[in-house]
Amino acid sequence: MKGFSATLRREVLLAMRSPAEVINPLFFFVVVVSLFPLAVSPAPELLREMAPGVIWVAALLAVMLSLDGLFRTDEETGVLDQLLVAPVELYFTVLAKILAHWLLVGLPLVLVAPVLGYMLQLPVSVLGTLMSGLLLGTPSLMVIGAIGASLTVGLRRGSMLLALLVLPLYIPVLVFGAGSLGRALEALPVNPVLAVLGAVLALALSLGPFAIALGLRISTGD
Amino acid sequence: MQESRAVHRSQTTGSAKLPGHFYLISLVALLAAVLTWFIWSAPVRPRTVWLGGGWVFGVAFYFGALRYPDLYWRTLERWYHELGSPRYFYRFSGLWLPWLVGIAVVLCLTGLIWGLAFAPPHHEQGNSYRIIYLHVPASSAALMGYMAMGVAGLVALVWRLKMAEIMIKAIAPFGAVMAAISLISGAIWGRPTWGTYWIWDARLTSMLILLFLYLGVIALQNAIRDPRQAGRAASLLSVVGVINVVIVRYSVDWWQSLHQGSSMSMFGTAGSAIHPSMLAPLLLSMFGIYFLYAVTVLIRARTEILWRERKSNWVREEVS
Amino acid sequence: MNDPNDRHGNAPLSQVELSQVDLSQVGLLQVDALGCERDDRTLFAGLSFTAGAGDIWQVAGPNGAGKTTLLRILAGLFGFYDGRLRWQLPATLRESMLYLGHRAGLREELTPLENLSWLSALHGQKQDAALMAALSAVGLGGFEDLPVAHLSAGQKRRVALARLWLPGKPVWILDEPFTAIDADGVALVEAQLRSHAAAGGLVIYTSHHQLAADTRQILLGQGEARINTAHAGAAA
Repeated sequence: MKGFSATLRREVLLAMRSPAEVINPLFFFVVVVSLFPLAVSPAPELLREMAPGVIWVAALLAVMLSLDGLFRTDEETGVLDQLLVAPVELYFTVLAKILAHWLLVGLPLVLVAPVLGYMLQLPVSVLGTLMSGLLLGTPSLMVIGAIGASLTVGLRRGSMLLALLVLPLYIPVLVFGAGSLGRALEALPVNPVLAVLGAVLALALSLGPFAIALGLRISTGD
Repeated sequence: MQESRAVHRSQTTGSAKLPGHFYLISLVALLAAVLTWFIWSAPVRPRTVWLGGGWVFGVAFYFGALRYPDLYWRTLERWYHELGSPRYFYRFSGLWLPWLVGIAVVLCLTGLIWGLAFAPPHHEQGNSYRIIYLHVPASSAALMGYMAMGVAGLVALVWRLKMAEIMIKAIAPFGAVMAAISLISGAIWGRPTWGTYWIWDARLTSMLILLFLYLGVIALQNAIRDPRQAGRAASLLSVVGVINVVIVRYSVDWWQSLHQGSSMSMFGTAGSAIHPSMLAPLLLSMFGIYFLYAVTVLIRARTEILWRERKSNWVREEVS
Repeated sequence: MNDPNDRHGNAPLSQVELSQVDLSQVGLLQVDALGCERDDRTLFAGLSFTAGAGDIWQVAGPNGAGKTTLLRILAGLFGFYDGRLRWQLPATLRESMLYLGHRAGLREELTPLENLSWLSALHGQKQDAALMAALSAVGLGGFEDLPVAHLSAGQKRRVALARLWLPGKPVWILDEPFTAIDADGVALVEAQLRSHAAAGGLVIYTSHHQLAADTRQILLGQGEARINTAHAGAAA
């Protein structure tokens, strides 16, 4: 656990110093969701039917785009090398980085999602499911996306490649996340689906940081 | 180029104490068996054939690894050295290649001609079902290829075997082509069956995602300039992808049930029982495609070996 | 922390053994027939040397000769090489080594103090007083609360070099420590490298700048590696 809290504190501090990195994904999320009524139709029934997919896809894209910079600046400044030669388990420092990133980028998405859901005519009764689904789903999206980010960190024009690598891996989270909301709309029990999302999260959190650490080592040439 | 690799294990003499690798290999084998079983999507009724195959494999493993560990480990170690060394691999694969080509051609031709021309028509779908003689082998080859990439990736990451990285690079394009063939043939089959070329059927959707995963591995490999680094990155992505494929398959099945879309039942509502006269050519063409797969992978791997080792003396001798 | 996956054969000697062994005789680092190829080009091949406690090794050579790559190999950051590399240290390499890369390893948004305190937290040497002392030693007293982005190139380099004034790392691997700093700074760092070596540490650095006539040299270039220790024995 050595280095975990120091890294967590530092990441939060870094985000405070350049708040755009934190605010932009949130802004992106809101803008993308509000494009859909304009593009399709403002009819409430249609919006309600589309809402789960729209919100989840927008959240997924926002998370993915925010991850491109997760390791890139560190790599460019040589901080990543320092992280790799430090006598700490990379597992925990990586976990700290992801946790900080989720607190600063993922959590705001979760908090703003009910407002967008309401705007897309979702009944208030399902907004809880929306939030808990995102609460369980966005950390998994962070971890899975960070695997891609670790593999593309040293590459120029890596952000397009990141999307190509990561989006297929996001499909289960998307299916279960949007599916849980769809079931809530039909007044079916959602807890089993949320449990599956939780299981995916547990798998991602336990194995993901290993893959990310390995990916970072591979990207720096080991 | 010198092969510098540490041999982790020296000779095992007693059968009482099992080396650490044993557990790892058993675990990998078990995992592979479970994955294969879980993901197996071919509509072939005798899944028992495969379970039986698993039994044979398991018994062989038991007698090999537990009863005669010396022989087992020595063989494994020899393979590790021979197959792990590009030079030996090049030589051995050169010996196997003509045989594999012969077997692949014979199996493919017999299977396809038998299936397309001589197998009886289906009682509901008539002759349109015959596309399974292409569709099913291609689908299963695509899936198997990804599994193989995952296993090779794990080997490459754990033991830093250069050959495993080369295998991934060799498998990926053929797997992607197989996935594409499966999708196209599925679409063509869908036209008479559903009246449309594309439906978001669980099986077709899974195959589409598999194609995306293949393309991701290929794109990553092409983006990284250093071949050794590209190989390791692709290995990691393959391992992550294999774990993901399992979850994708599960999620897509669930998604299908949620939306109650139409699912392609290959042999109508009567269940998946398939008459032996249809099954035999299907199995033949399936194994034919597998051998074709092996041939392609070997050829690509051999080319890659020559390219990577082009500065070494043995390649110069081989080429001149 | 004992990393079983450490591929550098970095078997820790126990403390008892250490007291009996004269480290300067054993050699902290043994390099055997090290070679590296990158992008189809042999950077160097057949590099063998033994570096012991109290040594200063300079890696020199023209641009693109593989100086940085060699240091990254030694630091365990770059794994694609032939030959053997063996660190013999009382602890693991990562615990014993201070690595300063080609890039400073500082985030521009943070102040020098914040940057350094994170690094020393990772290395388990967290003392703010020591960090302040180190910063003032490199002439940055009073700059510790200014974001690194506001500093000049030379000052940034000095922030990174301030870690040379923190104790506890016997092995220093420094990539171009003298770039961008002025004559005073060069003299300051030179003195620090010497006193580290005199105290029984090992310094390996890349630069065109030879510390003294007695520095041991690794000369890279044209795919070859030469060792020059001609004057080392005489001065010692």
